[in-house]
Amino acid sequence: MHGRLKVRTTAEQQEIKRKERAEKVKKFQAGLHRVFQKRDAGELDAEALQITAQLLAGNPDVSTLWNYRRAVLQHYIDTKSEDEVQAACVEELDFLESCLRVNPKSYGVWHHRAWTLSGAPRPDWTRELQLCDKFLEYDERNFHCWDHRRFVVKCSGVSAEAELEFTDTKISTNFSNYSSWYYRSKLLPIVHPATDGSGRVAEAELLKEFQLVQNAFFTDPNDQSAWFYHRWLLGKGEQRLALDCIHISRDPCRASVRLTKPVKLGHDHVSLSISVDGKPVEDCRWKNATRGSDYGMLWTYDVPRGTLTERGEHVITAELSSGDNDDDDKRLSLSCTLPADRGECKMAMRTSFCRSRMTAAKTETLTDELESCKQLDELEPNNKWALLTIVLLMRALDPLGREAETLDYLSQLSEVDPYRGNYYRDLGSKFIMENVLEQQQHLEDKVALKDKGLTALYYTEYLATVSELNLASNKLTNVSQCCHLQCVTKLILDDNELESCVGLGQLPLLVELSLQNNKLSTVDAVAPLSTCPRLERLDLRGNPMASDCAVVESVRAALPQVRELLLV
Amino acid sequence: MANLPSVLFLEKHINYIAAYENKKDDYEYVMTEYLRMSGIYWGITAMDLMHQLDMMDKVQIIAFVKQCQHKCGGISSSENHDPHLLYTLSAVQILCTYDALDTIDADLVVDYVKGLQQPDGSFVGDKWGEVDTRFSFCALACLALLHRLEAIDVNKAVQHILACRNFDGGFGTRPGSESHAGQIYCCVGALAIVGRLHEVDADLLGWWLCERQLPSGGLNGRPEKLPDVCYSWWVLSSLTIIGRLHWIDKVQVLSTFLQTSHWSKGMMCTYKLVLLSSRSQGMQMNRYE
Repeated sequence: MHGRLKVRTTAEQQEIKRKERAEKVKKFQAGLHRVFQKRDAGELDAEALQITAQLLAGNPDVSTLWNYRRAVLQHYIDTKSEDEVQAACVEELDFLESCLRVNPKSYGVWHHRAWTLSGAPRPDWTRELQLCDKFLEYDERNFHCWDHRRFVVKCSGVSAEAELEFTDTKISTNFSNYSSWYYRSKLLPIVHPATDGSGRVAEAELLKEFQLVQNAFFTDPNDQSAWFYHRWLLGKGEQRLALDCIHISRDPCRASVRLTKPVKLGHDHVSLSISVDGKPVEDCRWKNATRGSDYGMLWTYDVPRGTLTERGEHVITAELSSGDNDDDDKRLSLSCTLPADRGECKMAMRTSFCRSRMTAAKTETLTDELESCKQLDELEPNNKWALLTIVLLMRALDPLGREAETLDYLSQLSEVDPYRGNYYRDLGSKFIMENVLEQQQHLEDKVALKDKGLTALYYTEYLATVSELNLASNKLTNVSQCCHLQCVTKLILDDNELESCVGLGQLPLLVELSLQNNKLSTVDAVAPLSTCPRLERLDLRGNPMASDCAVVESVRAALPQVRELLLV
Repeated sequence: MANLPSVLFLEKHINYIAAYENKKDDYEYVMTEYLRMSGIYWGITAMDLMHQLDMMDKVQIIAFVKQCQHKCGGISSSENHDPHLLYTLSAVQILCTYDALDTIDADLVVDYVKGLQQPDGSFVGDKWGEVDTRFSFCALACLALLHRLEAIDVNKAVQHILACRNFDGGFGTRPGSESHAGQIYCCVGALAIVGRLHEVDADLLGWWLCERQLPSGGLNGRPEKLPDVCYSWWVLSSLTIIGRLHWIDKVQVLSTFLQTSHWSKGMMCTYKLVLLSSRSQGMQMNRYE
């Protein structure tokens, strides 16, 4: 019986609600109709403000109503006395505050508030900042309010120092406040800029931040905020555009240039030219080695025959010019000498793939940090944030010496935090490549990256001059980054997990390719290879396609240049 | 998962969307008039994904879109409302779906969008001056669909988006604003449209995005927030655009969706689910939270 009674009550309640809603709809539609009538008649008056206020109080997302209010207020600003306008604006701000109390996350309300303040003759910025304080007390993550605060700060000239202090207060009240930590990342480089112009934070202050953030993650080791901030503290400044490497070969007659970041040549005021023995080569047609993008770090140019002699010595210079205008024009150049009787030459700048050199003070701080994180790991076993931060600190302190330890921690992370297993594996692959490249600044022609557990390929631009590359026995599922292997003649990709050869097309010098024991099953999977003009030997043994006669025949037809196709 | 009644579930959604237009006196219908154009876009896209586009009244929808174009070229959410970039994009998307772009004056749309770009490259949503990277996305997507990107200063638009990039690799509403999954979708999407994805630090951003997945399997939109189907869409689509979708656990995402929304069949369902639940979850381009 109790149940039945309850059902009946619910039905009654539903009916009451239905009626209420029907009434609301009627009122809302009537109000809206009246507003549109007035607006279309050009009536910009107090009644307009009154009706729209009633409608907006419950439905702050109807932007057309805010627009009408702005039209009325703008009319006041244009026609009324300063005091009258001020009074109207104050009234408007009061109304908006009442709207915010009901819905503190309405885009429309916050925008209208900023608009009103911008039009008010005497905006009270102090009171406005207090309003922000108040709403951030209700909800310290309300990004609308944070944005409004930044608007108020900008309009009223509050200093970055004062705002930094505000974040101090916020963070000391509650460490778990991503919004505050984020705001610090914006303020610190302004208040304490690094002297090297990198846009980062001065070292003395940076080291103090490490202390602050350490307190935070010891207080609540499972809160993401402090850990994200910590990783930012460990970061580097942005890479500047520069020439990184030039490579010249006689056969094919070609120049290759690598830059420190991707550009679109001929656009954004970036251009690249070369000269041979001091004589500029006219009309260089650069080709981007990166497929599927207009932007790239690696550019090649097929030098017209006759520009280089068959045997003689040549000095080749690449010149990069960039800059938004003539005043800011930057020119950089890099030269290399092609000795007589040699087929190729290259000149590369020293690139740091791991961490740059650190001061003693920073090394000491980071060493302390590492100790603290290890303690935390003992107190809170399997805390993934502590584990990942240990990895990052080891990378910063001694990337080569601690490689094995780092990789152990990453595999522990994959177990502790399986949702992100692929992230940790890819990160490990990146670190491995960084270490390989750091150790082999002047890469040998033959590079072996066999059985490294690689799940992703990073930095292949830096393998552009390698002629033999062995990537066998990894866990690669994608080799699209191989498009940068512009000098490779022999490539081994046995025992990976490839389902497609995308990325292996258009490799101009590739002669021998081994793809044993992958997951290639269709003609389409190997179709990109048809654009490798010199490909002679292709090993497809152990792939699903090898046992399908029809597929094999179509592969032969699709790749006529291959003389030796191994299937069984 | 295999046992879930996916066909029945889809039918319910199909019927719900198909019937929606006939409930013009419903509270929900009236109260969402201010975003009608986007609602139609979500509805027909969901129907299209379920191969049921024919169930929608094409003629009526196209006539409605035409009616909503204003003299300035901009398009409003419905009749009597003011034009805005949000609804201009939805309208263009609807007409692309129906291959009916000639319904509206596309040149005027281009003029309207162009007129909303500011000297710093940003876009305001309408003449009242609200700046937001959502509007950068709307502008670039709209012009890309009309094949008229050359009408604006794309470089400056990109520079503005990059000025909104943050310490976590994400993007915010304006320069100085905190990262947010919805905003990240807009910025990453906009950069993808103009071929500038290399400006994104995909590993840093991908890490932040994959950390949105919570123990329940669902995803949130910012650190230390609750999971939500709507945010799941922004996060998953952003991860897809930067090639890092494999950094989250797809099986867990799907099983969460199934629990909350009786769901099945592959990742494309994510899109459907978000679109289908747009009304109940409050997924609106102009109200993420």
